[in-house]
Amino acid sequence: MTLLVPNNGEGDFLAYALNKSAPENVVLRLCQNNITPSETDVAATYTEATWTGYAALTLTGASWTIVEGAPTEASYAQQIFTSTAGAQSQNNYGYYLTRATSGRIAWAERFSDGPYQIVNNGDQIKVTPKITLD
Amino acid sequence: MTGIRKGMWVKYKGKLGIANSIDGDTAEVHLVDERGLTTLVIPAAAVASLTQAAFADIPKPRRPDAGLARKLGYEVI
Repeated sequence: MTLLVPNNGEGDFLAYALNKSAPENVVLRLCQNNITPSETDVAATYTEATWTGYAALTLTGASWTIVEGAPTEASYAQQIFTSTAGAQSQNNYGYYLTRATSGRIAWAERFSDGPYQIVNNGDQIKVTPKITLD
Repeated sequence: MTGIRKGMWVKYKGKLGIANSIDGDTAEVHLVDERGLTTLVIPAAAVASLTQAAFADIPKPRRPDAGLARKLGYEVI
């Protein structure tokens, strides 16, 4: 799978790298609409999951691991979304990250083998955030 | 050089889609419906067969403002 950084996300990446704007944590979210990310997307393009037990997860800056190399990689510990009720039926087509304060989209990725359907109590979706630059 | 890039709204055989990934001369194109939702995955479309969509082709729920569209090369009439 490969992620996509929409135009908003590109602008923020540059603004943070060049100290034009103060960086923000990102918030990991699942989307329930059947979206393929595009360069023109904004956060509102994505319909966030609403199944019981779902909650967006804030990824704090200090917890990222960055390893310089070819490519240089930033990775984060696996994040787990867990259903807390049965008799649900909601498809999850991918994930997206938004900025914690501005709410602007950072990047998004469609699950290549999705959608993952949440049905039962205890069903889980696991995402290991990773982004590379070369 | 066609200028097709990942995430671009494209036309493929007259249908609207998004270039989800590009690998050399081929691209995985995700066709979309009038709401911008994915309907069909074309796993290996020839990049040469793709053209950038026009602003008006982009489904309304996912259409950016005209100024941004122009900056990204979409024809705005």
